[in-house]
Amino acid sequence: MAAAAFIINAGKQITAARHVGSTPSQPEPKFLQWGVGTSTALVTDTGLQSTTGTTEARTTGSISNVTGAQTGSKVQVTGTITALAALTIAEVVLMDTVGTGSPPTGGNCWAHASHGSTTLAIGESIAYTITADFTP
Amino acid sequence: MSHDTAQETLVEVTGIVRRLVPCPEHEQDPPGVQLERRNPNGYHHDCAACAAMTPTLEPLEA
Repeated sequence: MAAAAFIINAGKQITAARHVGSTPSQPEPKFLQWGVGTSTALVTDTGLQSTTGTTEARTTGSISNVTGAQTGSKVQVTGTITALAALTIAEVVLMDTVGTGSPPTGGNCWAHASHGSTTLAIGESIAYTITADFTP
Repeated sequence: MSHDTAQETLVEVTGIVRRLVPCPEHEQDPPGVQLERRNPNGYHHDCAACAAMTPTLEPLEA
């Protein structure tokens, strides 16, 4: 599995929809969820490959604009997810809703990334920083 | 219309993995301890040795 990260094709409509309306109806894509799928992320993905099967809720991340090649040209989401069971985590998504159920489902995915398989014990966590640079 | 692939959005993911160091009293962090029964550092909250422990931080592997 190789590291890869994309604003997925289906997520581009989220980016577009956030532009429209003085109070956009499109929620911020700031909800982090991790998964155990080990395939390399693709731009054609639609979400996680495999959820953990445990009850970690989606984390409401902190979203902000940060400076890249242009002032404020990046969107950055930070958030921490803590393992409720022994897990090997290999992917993460940003969703536009906190979702429902355990593990949570629902909403639309904006970004999907695969990363090195990371074995966690119960109580261990990953603090993610996901940054989209619109003018690399 | 022009399309410059160098202008595609670049997405970067980094992370810090917070790992629990085995507690000397428990040899390892006791499995199955509910998170609400853990101290703020993630260890068993009833154990003084656990309370003295702090997790280690390591970068998420790409």
